[in-house]
Amino acid sequence: MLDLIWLIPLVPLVGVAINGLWGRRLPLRAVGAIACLAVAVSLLLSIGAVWQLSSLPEGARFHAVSLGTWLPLENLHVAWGFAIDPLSAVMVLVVSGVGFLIHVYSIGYMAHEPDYARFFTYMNLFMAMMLTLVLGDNMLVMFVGWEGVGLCSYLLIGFFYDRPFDARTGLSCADAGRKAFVTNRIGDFAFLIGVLYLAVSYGTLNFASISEAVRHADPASHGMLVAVGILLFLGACGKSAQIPLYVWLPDAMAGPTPVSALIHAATMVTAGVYMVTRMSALYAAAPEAMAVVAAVGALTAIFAATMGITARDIKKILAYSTVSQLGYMFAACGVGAYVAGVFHLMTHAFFKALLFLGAGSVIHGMSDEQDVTKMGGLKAKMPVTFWTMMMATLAISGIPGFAGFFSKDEILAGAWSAGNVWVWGILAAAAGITAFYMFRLIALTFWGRFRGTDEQEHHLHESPTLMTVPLVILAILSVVGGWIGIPAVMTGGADVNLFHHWLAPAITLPGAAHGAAEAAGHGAEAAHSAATEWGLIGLAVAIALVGIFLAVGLYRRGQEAAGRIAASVRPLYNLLRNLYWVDEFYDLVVLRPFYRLSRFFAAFDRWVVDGLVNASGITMDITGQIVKLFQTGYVRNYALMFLFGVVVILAYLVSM
Amino acid sequence: MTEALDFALIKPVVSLAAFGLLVLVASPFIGGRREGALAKIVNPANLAFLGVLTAAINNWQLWREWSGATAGRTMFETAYGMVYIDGFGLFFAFLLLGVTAMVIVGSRKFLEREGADHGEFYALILFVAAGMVTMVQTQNLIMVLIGLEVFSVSLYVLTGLTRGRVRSVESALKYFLLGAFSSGFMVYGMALLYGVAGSLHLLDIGGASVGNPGPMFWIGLGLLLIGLFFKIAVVPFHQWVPDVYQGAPTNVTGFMAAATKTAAFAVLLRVLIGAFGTHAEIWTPIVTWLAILTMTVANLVALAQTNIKRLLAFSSIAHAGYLLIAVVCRPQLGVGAIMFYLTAYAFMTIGAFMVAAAVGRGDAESERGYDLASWSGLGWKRPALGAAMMVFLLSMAGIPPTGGFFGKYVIFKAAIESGRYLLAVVGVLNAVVAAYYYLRVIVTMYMREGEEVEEPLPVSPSLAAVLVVSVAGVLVLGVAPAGLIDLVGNLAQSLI
Repeated sequence: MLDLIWLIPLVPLVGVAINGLWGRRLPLRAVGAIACLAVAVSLLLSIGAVWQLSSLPEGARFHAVSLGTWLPLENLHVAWGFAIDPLSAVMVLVVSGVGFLIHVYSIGYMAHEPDYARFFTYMNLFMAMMLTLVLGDNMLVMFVGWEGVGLCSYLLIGFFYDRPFDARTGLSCADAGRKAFVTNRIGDFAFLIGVLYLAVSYGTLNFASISEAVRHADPASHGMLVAVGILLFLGACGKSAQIPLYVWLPDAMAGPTPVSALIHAATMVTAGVYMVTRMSALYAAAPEAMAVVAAVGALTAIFAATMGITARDIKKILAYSTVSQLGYMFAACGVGAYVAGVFHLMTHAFFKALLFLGAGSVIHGMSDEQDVTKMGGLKAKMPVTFWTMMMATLAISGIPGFAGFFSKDEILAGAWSAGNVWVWGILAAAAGITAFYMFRLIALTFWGRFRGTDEQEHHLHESPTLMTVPLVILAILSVVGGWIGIPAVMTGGADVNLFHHWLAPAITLPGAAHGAAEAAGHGAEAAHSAATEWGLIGLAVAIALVGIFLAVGLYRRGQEAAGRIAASVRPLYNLLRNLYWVDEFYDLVVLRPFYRLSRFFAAFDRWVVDGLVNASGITMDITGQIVKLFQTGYVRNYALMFLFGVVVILAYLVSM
Repeated sequence: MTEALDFALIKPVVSLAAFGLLVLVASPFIGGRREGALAKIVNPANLAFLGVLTAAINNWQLWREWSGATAGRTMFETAYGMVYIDGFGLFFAFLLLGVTAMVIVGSRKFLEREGADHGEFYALILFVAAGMVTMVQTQNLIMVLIGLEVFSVSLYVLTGLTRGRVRSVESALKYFLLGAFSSGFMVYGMALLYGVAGSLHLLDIGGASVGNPGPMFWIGLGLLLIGLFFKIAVVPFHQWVPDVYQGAPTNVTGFMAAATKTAAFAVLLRVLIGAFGTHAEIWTPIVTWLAILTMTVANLVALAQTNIKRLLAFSSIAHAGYLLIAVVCRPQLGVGAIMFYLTAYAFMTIGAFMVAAAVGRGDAESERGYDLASWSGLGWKRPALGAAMMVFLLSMAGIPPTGGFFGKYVIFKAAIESGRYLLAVVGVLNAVVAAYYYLRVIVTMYMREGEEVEEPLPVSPSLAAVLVVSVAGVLVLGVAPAGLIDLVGNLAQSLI
């Protein structure tokens, strides 16, 4: 099975080919079945490969397959190489597993949409690209996937290309897709520069070789490594929606809800976290770059969380939440707690995908209503949706026993033990806000009385089985998914943190010599006493509970109580409601000057460049017309001209 | 130098002349519009093609002998140095025979349409080829003159072949008058050179003129060059070209454009580089300025042309300008560049004129078929003809992947490596200007709505074969030029 890992990204392409070419003529059932089957095969191949990988001894869990040379350049050989190691094993399982559930869900969710085949074609293409991204064994193959998922994201955000999206900003769905694409391009550009830098410096793009080269890097190249680290992270900021490039993700909600769940919550947006973790050796050699990662991650975590408080669109609340949670993951990477970061990536994939699918179910039931202030009391009509979303909400809020608790706790513990109290404080505060806005969402959606129209109330219904089964599976994962990473302190010192054991060998920590990485990692995380750790856990849970109680108290009966508070702090409310005016700020500082510059160049091109070109063309033309007059057609004139030439040439020769 | 005539060395020319006479004698019996299977095989065209083939085989035997000769023997001479066989001459002979063969194969339907399918056409074409091959395989000025006059007189007749067209007759007369005019200068120059050296052998004259040879030599050289410049069509000796190219039957025009330039350039190189290379610092300014003048004037005037034949005429003058650049480069680079360029030029020129012949209606009054306006939409109406024409035009404009691109490349490269920066810059700028009028034809063919014009000539299998060979030649030289570049680089050594 390990030799077949290249098939994992390839199989969904078969689905792309079939649905892309003949999808319009196939019955709907067949289209959905083909798409799901393609992903299911990938999932089975992934499970088989990971199973075999786990049977290998701990230090040898790495297997690479090359499909041949891609770029045989003089100083750089790049192969179509795929590789699996503990890190990509986690990613491949999350991507294909969650991807499969979301594909199944989509069969029901998209049933009423035209262009059913186009949707599944793009979804399968996305799976192929995402799996390429996580399985590529060098940066260029990864970049193929990286750009490929960006393309699919663009295509799927703009899936309803003829519909308006946001009344406030006047964006259409197609605009939202463009915004995502262009914003990502900024990051990708930085990423590509970083990749080229590595290619030039080390003559290889293979992850293993780069890690090896970086470990023995010349101290003089330290500045270069920091620069590359920051450039790569900028790429991650684009893909994973971090400050300053996060603005596209809330608007990416213009896509169909399964897309939001798959691409903009569970998988693609975590690509940046995966990439930073993959390059841990490089970041270990560039602590300054890690500090940047930690700072940006923590700031994004709290910044985005506050924006979630006032949002009304159920999907946008979840989008800000995603940005915030991604910030958590980056903060974890930045303080060296990569294992915790990837752990959170995984649990987040479960509960955030579940939240989005639940939101989709709600939107489906509410006849496409997305404003939570117009919902309420749905618990009775949609029990499965309510209970599954409740599980996910408890998980994201960090309630002990649920998946999110373990991963979030590990991140907080990591920040604390890295001596980074600021990061710890910010993340803890963000956890409280997270709990608050998530329970606000639950309260407004499911509790209180129904605030929608009679028409909507009449149609209100639980979603079909095809949609609720994935919800239930994800709900189970949102609970038990964290149990593979229980901290040692909770088990009385027994080391049962399976996830840590699995992943740690794939990661290089700062200051750790090769081979001693795991030990050092353990050392860092065990640096604080059990009492401190219990205290930290208690504090975090307490902060989350405060958030929950505030939210439940305020919003249980609707939003009147909250409205009064908002009125009393109107400026603050406006600040949050308008998302800190970041979009407006970008518009003013980046877009408008850029457009002005573009218009200037356009005018320059049209009047000066074209003018010169046209003027020279016209001059040539006129000269030609004049010279043409010598072509009289009379032999005597020709002979005269001939003679003129003779005289000049002979005069020259004789005078020499 | 008392050796007797080595008949083997003149076999190619003898074959051409003999077959020419045979065609002339036999055409009353095998020519005309006879029907039947026999006429399909035995006709003047096939006979003439056989003649070219025989000459090519003879030439091939000489080539084998020459390339297999023991070291030191870089050439064969006979008849008191009047026939001079070396790699340089053999290459040009092959090129000329190839051009001749293509014209013979591609002309038949065109001549029928023009009502000029006389056996004389093929006889005259063979005489032209005989004259040219004579001219490129000698070092003797008398032989140069004989070869030149044989092909010139034949071409005068060929130009007036479609005697129903006023333009054809007029252009034949113009060509004859100006050709005689230039021949006068040339013969006078030869006489003066003989006066200086007491020999008509170019290498002897070159040997006698070392040092400071005096004004008689310079005037003699100048007049000789002027005669050649006229044949090559260098500004200001070029003015006959557009009129004659337009008036001559289109297939003859293509032949003239490709073959005359090739033969005359071979002699020019023998004179300037082979014989008088020691005086390079004197003649370099002349050729430099003529190159600049030729390229610039021809390209500028070509911009204003609306008739495809006149446009191609000015284009061929401009090509002569590019070729002159290579004359003043270091011979090790320049001679090979010229040989390569002329090969690519032969394919694209024959091809372009053959397409023009197929498209243009030789209507005596208006000749509308040659107006660019009537080429509108041709690319869609006749996809194969349009695509072929596009390939030839792109090659003339010097756009990869065509032979024309590498032709310009080797010339400009030679110019830069020889320090002729001014010429390289002027050449490139001219190529930019030229691209405009070549692309304009392509734009007309593909992006203009075409009015319904009469159907152009249906492409006969033989014409199709010529076009396929031309397109293939242009593209092969554009994709894999290395072989020919190496070959001509070696052959050029026999001249230098």
